[in-house]
Amino acid sequence: MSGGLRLACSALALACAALSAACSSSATGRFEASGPRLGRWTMAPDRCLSGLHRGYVGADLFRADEREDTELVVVQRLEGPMVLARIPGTDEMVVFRADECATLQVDVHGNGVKVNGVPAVSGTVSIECDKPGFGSVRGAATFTCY
Amino acid sequence: MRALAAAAAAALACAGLCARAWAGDASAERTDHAVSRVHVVLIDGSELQGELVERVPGDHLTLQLATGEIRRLPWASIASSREVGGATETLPPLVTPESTPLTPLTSSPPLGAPRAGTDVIRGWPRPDRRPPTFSGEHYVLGVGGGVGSPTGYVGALAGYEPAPWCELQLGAGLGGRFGYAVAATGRLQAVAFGAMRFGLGVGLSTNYAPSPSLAGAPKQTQFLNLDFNQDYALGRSAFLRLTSGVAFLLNPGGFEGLCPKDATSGLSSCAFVAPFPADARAAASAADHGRTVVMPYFGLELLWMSS
Repeated sequence: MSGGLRLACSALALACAALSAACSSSATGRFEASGPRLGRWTMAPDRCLSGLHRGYVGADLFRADEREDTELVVVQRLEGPMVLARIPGTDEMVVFRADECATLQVDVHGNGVKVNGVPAVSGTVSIECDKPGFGSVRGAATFTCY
Repeated sequence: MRALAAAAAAALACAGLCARAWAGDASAERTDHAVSRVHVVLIDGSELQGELVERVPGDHLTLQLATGEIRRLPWASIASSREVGGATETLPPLVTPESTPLTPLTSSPPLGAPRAGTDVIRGWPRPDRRPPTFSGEHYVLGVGGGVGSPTGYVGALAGYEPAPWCELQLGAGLGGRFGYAVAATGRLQAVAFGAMRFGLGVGLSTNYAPSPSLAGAPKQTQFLNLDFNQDYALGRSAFLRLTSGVAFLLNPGGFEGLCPKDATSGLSSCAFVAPFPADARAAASAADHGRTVVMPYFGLELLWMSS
């Protein structure tokens, strides 16, 4: 294979991979939780869902792995942001508000894309929260969710 | 004139008040989460009662029944709802998605509506963690057909996808006018929303015709195939592929001089065959005139993916 052809193939492969990434929900980052109710877990989310599917402005971050049961939800409200962390193995989410967090930086904004009429969101989250009796969660992520 | 100005001012003021009132209604619609137990009548006549988990006007209502089951009711399926012990409420009309503002909700969000003092929300549904159709590594098996396509009218296909944007495929089929076919194709693709894919394919194919349609034509022909494909997921384990492309004949020399020439004009007797569907006569004609033998093709494939 000539150098030019190899370069063209590589460029095409990169373009396809980049396009694939650009047109799919994606999340990168890492969260760690520990505590009596939350248990101890780490999650590196790789997928997310726009909160507007469920009527809130925010994002639902998780791993696309059916063996996992961790989840972190970012909610942006006028009263201030809020983060929900799943207690693994249950249908319960622990609520963390600003007064329980040393760091709670949330940026969620529409990115101009709608899928099936539901606006997509992009943004970032950085948290360091502790709720006595439940546990603490810390970490950060960047996401684009459809 | 003064009366006209006064009337206009009054109209503007009225419009402003109406707009404010409308905005107030819209806000109330989103912030009305005080109801905890509701009784819902569906349009098919069935009735449900449970704890309100989520209320997204125009979209759906989610209830937690006494059994603990979480039931999500599409807005369009609800005839009426009322707070248990309260007045019957006819739900507001369906809100179009375009009217959903991308602004923070002014009150508690739905799904358990974390009210002041709430430490835990129960009944939060788990996300769908299944990978999208076009993701990860897969083996692919299927059938395909087409006009002029590498495997011809009907063929069987097998492939391997180390990643959703890359595929290697082998196929064998009845072929077309050049005889039975085997083909190998490599594809680079872009995935859109996990359920659509489009890309480019490059491949080689060989046809074998025990008795060529044109006397003297080679029994074996080779093609370089370039095509564009669109894939559409059918559920989570199958997809439909549409291809359109062109095939370049790689051994045109075998077709040279096969067409008798007119003594006076010198033109080949194959010169006026239709360019499509392509066959040995078209190849012979193109070869005689020193042209690259290029043939368009279209294909349709139905493929299944390993989990």
